[in-house]
Amino acid sequence: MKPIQSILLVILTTFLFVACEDVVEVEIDEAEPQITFDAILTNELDTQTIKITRSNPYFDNSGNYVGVSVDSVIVSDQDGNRFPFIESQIGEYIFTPSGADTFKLGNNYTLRIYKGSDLYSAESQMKRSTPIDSITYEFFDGQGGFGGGGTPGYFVLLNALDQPGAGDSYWIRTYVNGKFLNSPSSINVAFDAANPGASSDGIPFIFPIAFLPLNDFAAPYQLGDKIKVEILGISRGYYDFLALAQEQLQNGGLFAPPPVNVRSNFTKNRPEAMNPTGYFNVCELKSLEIEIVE
Amino acid sequence: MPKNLVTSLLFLLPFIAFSQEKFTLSGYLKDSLNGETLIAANVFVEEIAQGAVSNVYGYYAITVPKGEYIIRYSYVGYTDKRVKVNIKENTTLNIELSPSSKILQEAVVRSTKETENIESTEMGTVKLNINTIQKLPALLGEVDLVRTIQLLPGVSTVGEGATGFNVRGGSIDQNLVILDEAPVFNSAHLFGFFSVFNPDAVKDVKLIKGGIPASYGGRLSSILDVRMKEGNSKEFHGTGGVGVIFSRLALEGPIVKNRGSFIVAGRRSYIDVLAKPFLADNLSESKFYFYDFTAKANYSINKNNQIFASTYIGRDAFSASGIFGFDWGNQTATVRWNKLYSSRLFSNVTGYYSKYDYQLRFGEEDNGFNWTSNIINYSLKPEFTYFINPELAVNFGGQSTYYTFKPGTAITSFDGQESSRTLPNKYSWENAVYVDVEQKVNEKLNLRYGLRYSHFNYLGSGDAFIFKDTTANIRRPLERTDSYNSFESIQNYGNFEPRFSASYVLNKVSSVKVSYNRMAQYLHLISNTAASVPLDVWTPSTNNIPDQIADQIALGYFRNFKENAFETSVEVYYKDFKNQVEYIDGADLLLNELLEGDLLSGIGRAYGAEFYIKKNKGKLTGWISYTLARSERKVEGINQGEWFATRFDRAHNLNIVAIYEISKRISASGSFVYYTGTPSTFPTNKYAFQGYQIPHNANDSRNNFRIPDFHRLDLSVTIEGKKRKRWESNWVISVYNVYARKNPFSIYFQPDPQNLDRTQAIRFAILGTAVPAVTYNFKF
Repeated sequence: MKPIQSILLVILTTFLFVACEDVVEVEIDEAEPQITFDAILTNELDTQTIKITRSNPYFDNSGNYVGVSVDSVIVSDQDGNRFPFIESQIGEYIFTPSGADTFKLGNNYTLRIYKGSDLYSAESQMKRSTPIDSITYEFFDGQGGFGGGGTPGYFVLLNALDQPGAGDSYWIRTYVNGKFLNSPSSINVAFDAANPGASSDGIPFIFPIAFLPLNDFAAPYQLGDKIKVEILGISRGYYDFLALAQEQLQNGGLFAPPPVNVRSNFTKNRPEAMNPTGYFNVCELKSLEIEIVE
Repeated sequence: MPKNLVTSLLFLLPFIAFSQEKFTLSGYLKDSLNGETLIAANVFVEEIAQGAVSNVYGYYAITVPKGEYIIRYSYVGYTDKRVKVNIKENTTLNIELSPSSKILQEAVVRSTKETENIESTEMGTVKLNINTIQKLPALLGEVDLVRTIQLLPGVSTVGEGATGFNVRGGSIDQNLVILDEAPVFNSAHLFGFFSVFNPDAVKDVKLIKGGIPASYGGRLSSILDVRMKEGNSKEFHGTGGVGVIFSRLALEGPIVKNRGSFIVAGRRSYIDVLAKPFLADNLSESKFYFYDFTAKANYSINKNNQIFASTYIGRDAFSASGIFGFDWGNQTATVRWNKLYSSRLFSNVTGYYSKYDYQLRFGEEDNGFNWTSNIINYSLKPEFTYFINPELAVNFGGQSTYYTFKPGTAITSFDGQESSRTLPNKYSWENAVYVDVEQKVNEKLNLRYGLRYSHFNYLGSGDAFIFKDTTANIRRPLERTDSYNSFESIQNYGNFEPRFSASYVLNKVSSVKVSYNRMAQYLHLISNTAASVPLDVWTPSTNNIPDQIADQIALGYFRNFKENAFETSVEVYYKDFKNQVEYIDGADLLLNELLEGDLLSGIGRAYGAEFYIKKNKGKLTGWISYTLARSERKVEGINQGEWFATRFDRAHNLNIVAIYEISKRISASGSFVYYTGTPSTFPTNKYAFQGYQIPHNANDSRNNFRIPDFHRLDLSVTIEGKKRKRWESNWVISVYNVYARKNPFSIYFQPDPQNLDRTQAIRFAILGTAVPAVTYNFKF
C-alpha cells in the first residue's frame, strides 16, 4: 500500500503543519564511487541502449556522470543467442534489433559486462505488458475538487485493465510533448491493478495509479498537449526497485521510513570490483499517445 | 504449573509468628473537600515508628499489637491529622485530610512524604500530580500529560509532533499506557501534539521506568499508569477552559452524597471552525478536529464493597469532501470492584475493553478506496493485597486478555464496482499470574520482590505462514501456509519474569537502591517511519514474530538536602533487549498479508545515567534533569550486521523546569529542553538511472549521521482571577519556542523540485516560530 500511504501523508502534512522546510548545507564524508548500469531494454525495434556511468558524490550538482568504458557488453538468451552491444560514445552501448522477435516474451536474458578482470552480470525474464484502452481527459476550472485554487486545465485518466492472472508488474511512464515526466512523484508502478497484497487481479488500474501520477496539479494540461503513456511489463524485482527508488527520492517529513539503498540485480565476480548499482530488465512495452483537443 | 507456583510462593512467604495479639487498623484516606481518595498517602504509628501507605484506591491497612496509639495521617499539600486510637480489635478508620494553604498545595511534584523518595524501594519511578502538570508552560496554552513526562529524566521523543515517547532507549510501543487499567493503544491526538488524556479528569500519573513491580507486564520499557478522578462526592462542581486550539469542560458531583460520585469531561478542538473562512471553496467542507470524552462513576455498596465504572472515547478526524477522509481513535471501558474480604485482605477485580481503530477513505462513494483496521481486547484482572504486618504486604493476582486484531479491510470501488481485500483477523490470548512482596527487613533495608509468569497463545482461526530462509534483509519467500481452526493454538510463548528492587537507607537523608526486572512483550507496533503514523498496525507474536524480552538492572543513589527542600538522585541503568522487530529495506507494512516475511529480528542494548535535582519548597520550585544515554540495535542484514544507534538515541538530554510564585495571584514558569540530534541515515553518493538521480549510501550504513541538536525554551504566566463565591478562574499566557528556533525534525535528501537535475538536503522543522497562546480556565 505504499503509493496510498505516501499520498496520504503528503496530504496530511500539508494540511496540518505550517511545517517549515529550508535547504541546508550538510557535510558528508567522501565515499567510494559505484558503477551504475542503466540497462532497461524493450521489445521495440528502436535502438536499445545500455549506459554505464560512475556515481557522483551526493552534492555534486554538475549534472555530469562520467561514462565508463568497458571491454564488452553482451546480452544472451536461454538458447545461446548473443546480442552484443557496441560503444557509441564513452559509457554508452547500443544494439539495434534485427526483427520484431529479437526479444521475446517469456525468454530469459543474461547481461554480462566485462571490464578487465571484473565481470558484472544480471538476469531478466521478459514479462508481459497490458494494452491501453484509452486515455481520457476532463477539464477542471481550478475552482473545486482536484487542482483547486489552481490553473484551469485538463486532467488525464489512463483506462487500462490489468492482465487476467495474478502477479503482473507494470511500470507506467508518461511523456508530455515528447518529454519524459521524471519528477519522483511521476514514478508509477502497479502490481496487478494496485499493489502487492491488494488482490486486484484483472480490474482497471486503481485511481492512485491511473490518475494521480499522470497529472501535475499545479500545471494541468492545456489544449494541444500531446500525452503519451507507456506501460512496460516488468519483473517483480524491478517493481520493488522502482517503488523503493521512489520512496528514496520522496523520503521526507514526519512519516519517512529510514533511507536505504535500492537493491541492484547486478552481481560482481570478485570483491575488488566496484560495487554495482542500477538494474537490468527486458520488458514488453505498449503505448498510446493522444492530443488534447476541444 | 504457574498456578501452583503462585500458591506455593504464597505459603512459603515468611509469615510472622503471632506471638502477641495483633489487630488491623484500616480504612480509606480522602480529601475533605471533594472526597477524592488520596493515593500513596502516609499513615504513621508514632509509638512504634511504623507506617503504611495508601494504595491506588486510597485504602490503607496496618497491623499492630493491641494498645493505644497516636496515628499520624499525612499527605503533602494537606494538613497532617493526628488521631488517638485504642486498638483492641480490628478497627476501621476512614480519614479525611484537608488541603493546606494554597501556596503549599501547589508545590511542584508532590511526593507523598518528604522522605518517601529515600525510603521507598521505588526507583526509576516518577509520580506527577495534575496540579504540577497544570503549572508548566504548555504548547498553545494547553497542559498535556505526555508532553510533561517528556521533561523527566530518561524520557524523550523523536521530535516535536511525534506520537508517543521513548523511555530508557525503548521504542514507543514498549510503553504500557493505561487509563484506569485499560491500555490505550495510541496515546496521541493531532499525531503527537496532545495526548488523549484530558487533564481535567486526571487525578494521578505514575511513570515506572525501572524496578517494575510484578503486577505490571506486557511491555518492555515502562508503565504509564494514569488514574482518573473519582468525581466530587460532596457537592457539584465544574471545571473547564477556553483555549486557542480547543475548549474543555468537566462536571463532577455526588450521585449519593459520600457514597457515590461521577465525573464527565469532554474536549473538542476547533481548528477547522477557525480556519474555515480562510480556506479555498473546495476545501471549505474540510474537517480536521479531535474530541474526547471521559466519564467515570463510583458507588460504595457498603463498607466493604465499592464499584467503579469509567470510559474514554476519543477521535481524530481529517477530511476534505470528495478527496479523502481519515479518522482514528481509542475507546476504553473499565469496570472495577473493590472488595475487602477482611481488613487485611484487599481485592480489586478489573474488567476492561479497549479498542483502537482507524478508517481511511479516498475518492467518492462509488469511485474510491476505503480501508479500516482495528485492535480490540477484553481483559479480566483480579488483584489482591494481603497486609500481613507493617513489615510485610503481599500483592498477588493475575490477568487474562483476549485480543482480536483486524489488520485491515480495503474496499476499492470503480464505477460502482467493488473489489475488496480483507486481511484475515488474528486472535490471541495472554495470561499472567504474579506475586509481589513488599518487605521491610529492618529500619534500613526495604525489599520488593516478585515473580510474574506470562503466557501468550497465538490462536486460530487463521493461517500460519512458513517462510523459506534467505539472505538477511531480503523478503523471505513463502514456503507454505498451514491453516488452523478456531481457538486452535498456532504458537505459544511463556516467560518467567523475575522482579526485584531494594533500598538501603544510609541515613535520614540518603539511600542507595538497586533493581532488576525482566519484562516480556507479545504485542508489536509495526512501524518503520520517523514518527509513528496512526495507520500503524499492532500485531501479536506469531510463529514468525517471537516474544520481545528485556532485562534491566539499575542502581541509584538518592539524597535530600536542606530539610528535604531539595531531592536529588543519580540512577544508572543497563538494558538488554532480545527479539526486537526490524524491517527489511522496502518493507511493505500495510495491507500486506505476508508482512511477516518483511520483518527482521535483532538484539538491542541501552544504557545511561540519569541525574535529577528537584526543589520542592519555597517560591521557586522546579527541577533539572540530565540524562546521558545510548540506545543501539544489532540486526543481521542492517548496517552490515554491526551495532547502530536507534532512531530515538539521544546522547544528552537536559531539562530545566522552574516555577516562580511572584505573588499570591501571579506565577510564572519556564522550561528549557536540550536534546542531542537524532541519528539519521544520509546518502554519500547518487547515481544516474532512467532520468533519475538515486541516492546511495556507499557503506550500506544505518544512522551514520546526526541531525542538529534540539533546544527550546517555553514560558508562561498564570494570573488568578478575582475569587468569587462560586467561580474561580485564571488566565494562562504562554509562549512556546520563545526564541523561534527551527528545530529540525529530520534532514532529508531530495531532487530540487525547480530543477530535477540538482539534489539537495532539506531541513524539516515542525514548528519554526514562537507560538503564543492564551487560555482561560475556570472552576465553579
